[in-house]
Amino acid sequence: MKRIISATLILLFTFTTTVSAHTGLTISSPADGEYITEDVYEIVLEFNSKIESTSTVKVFDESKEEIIISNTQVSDNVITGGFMSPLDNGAYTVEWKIIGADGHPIQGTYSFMVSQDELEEPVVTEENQETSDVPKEESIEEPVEQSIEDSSKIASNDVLVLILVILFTIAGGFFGWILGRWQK
Amino acid sequence: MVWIYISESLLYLCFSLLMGSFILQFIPERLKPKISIPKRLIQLSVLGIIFFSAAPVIRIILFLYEDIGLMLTMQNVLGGFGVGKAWNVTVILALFFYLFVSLFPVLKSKVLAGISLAFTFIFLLALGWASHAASLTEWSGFVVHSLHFLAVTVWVGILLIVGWCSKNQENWLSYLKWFTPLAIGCFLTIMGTGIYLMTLVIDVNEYGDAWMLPYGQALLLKHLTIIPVLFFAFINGFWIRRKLQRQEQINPIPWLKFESILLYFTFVSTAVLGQQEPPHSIEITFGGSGSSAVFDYFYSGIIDPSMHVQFGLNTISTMFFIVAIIFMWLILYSFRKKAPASVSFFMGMFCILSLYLGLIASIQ
Repeated sequence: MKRIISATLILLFTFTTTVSAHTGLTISSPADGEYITEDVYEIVLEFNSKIESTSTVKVFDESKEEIIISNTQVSDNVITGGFMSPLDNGAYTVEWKIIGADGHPIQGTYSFMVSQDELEEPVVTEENQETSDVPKEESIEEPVEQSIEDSSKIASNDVLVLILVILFTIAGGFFGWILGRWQK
Repeated sequence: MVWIYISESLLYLCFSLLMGSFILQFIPERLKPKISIPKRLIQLSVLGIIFFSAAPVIRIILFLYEDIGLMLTMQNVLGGFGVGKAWNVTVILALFFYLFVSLFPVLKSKVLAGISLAFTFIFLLALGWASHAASLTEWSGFVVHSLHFLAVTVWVGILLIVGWCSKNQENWLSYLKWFTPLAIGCFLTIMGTGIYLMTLVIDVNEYGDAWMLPYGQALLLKHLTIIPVLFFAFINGFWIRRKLQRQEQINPIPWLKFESILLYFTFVSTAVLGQQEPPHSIEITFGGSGSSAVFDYFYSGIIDPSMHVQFGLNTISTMFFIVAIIFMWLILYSFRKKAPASVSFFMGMFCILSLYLGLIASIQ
């Protein structure tokens, strides 16, 4: 009985979450952050080593709806998925999950935009200008912040000093204690 | 996440226990203290190999089952994946081995102990086969990894069994006479093979840059843990010997026990290394798995994966190194003052912490 209990405990201990390993995404089409102006019929992910056949790829649109991929194929180090119809305009998120050749599971996400030229073009450019304005402000602010921090990049200086004081106290305390208690 | 590290480090522990138990059967009685190894320990270690080596397989099943269902995943993983197949072989062999150690008096006869040692060695090779290093090179990674692991299990295994299963301390000087050179030999082997394995994964010049990643953090902690281990090894191998030669009263066993506990910490950090993404390219890895939480906390600049970590001594880091040196000295001082081994052990732990923070604080 005891042995059974310990065995189940050991099994319970082996519960884990995922950790990544060797294999990584090398090339994809559409690529990460790409801005596409034509019809997208399929998605292709290429990895830097052979992947197991149970690897999957999913694509979601802006409203987190999954786009149906009709046939996912895994061959050697490439996953290909075809869409039923070309993708509409909008931002898409790709989620991939693979098992590398060495048995390590790894997953990742990236996104791309589809924006085909249509009658709305002026609107698009206006939006574009608006959105490009915002990053500009940010990009002005950032260097300022950085230059302040450049002088001391360790954020938690106070924390470090506090730890130092504690460590010195411990060292001193132990020294005194050893000296007093085990004096021969 | 944490469980896989624990399970992995316990797997190394099981290997060490088996290795140490069987090797000690070949040492003549007059060259070792009286040791009694419980049979249950051997049985549990073999079972441990079965359970703890299942962790990577279980991890993959958990990773996949949401998509295609649990049963199908298990069939796939156990039947089709390299990892699953390797584990099947391990289980079948380990069950044989379990019956073998249960039915035969493996700790009574040299022949049976020799067969058990061969068994353990085969498992060890299987583990090396599944390692990072083996998948990176044709054969050298596999050979070096196995050698690294063999040297570790021989050294730590004997240390563990003598430290925890000795009934007395007779023949201690004659035991040290053969064990000290063996331990030094193992340590040098571990260092050489370890450096080779490290260069497979990271460029030595990028050692500091790798600290941005969990992998590098684990590697750093592993290397720092070795420092107090060396102090303990010095006390156990040389200082205690000198005291015994002078007929002083001293019990070396607690010192061995604490040295083995410190070594277990290196097992844990090794387990983290084995499960983390090795940064073949720090930039790409960074994009895939992000930076280490600890590094984020201490580094307030914008972390850019392509940056190089620059070091420079500043007041705070210098103070940390000073306190680290004080702790090193306290390890030896408390031994000299005949304080219990646990005091030295804690001094060692604080020494690791001070060195770690000193290095982190010296990043510019």
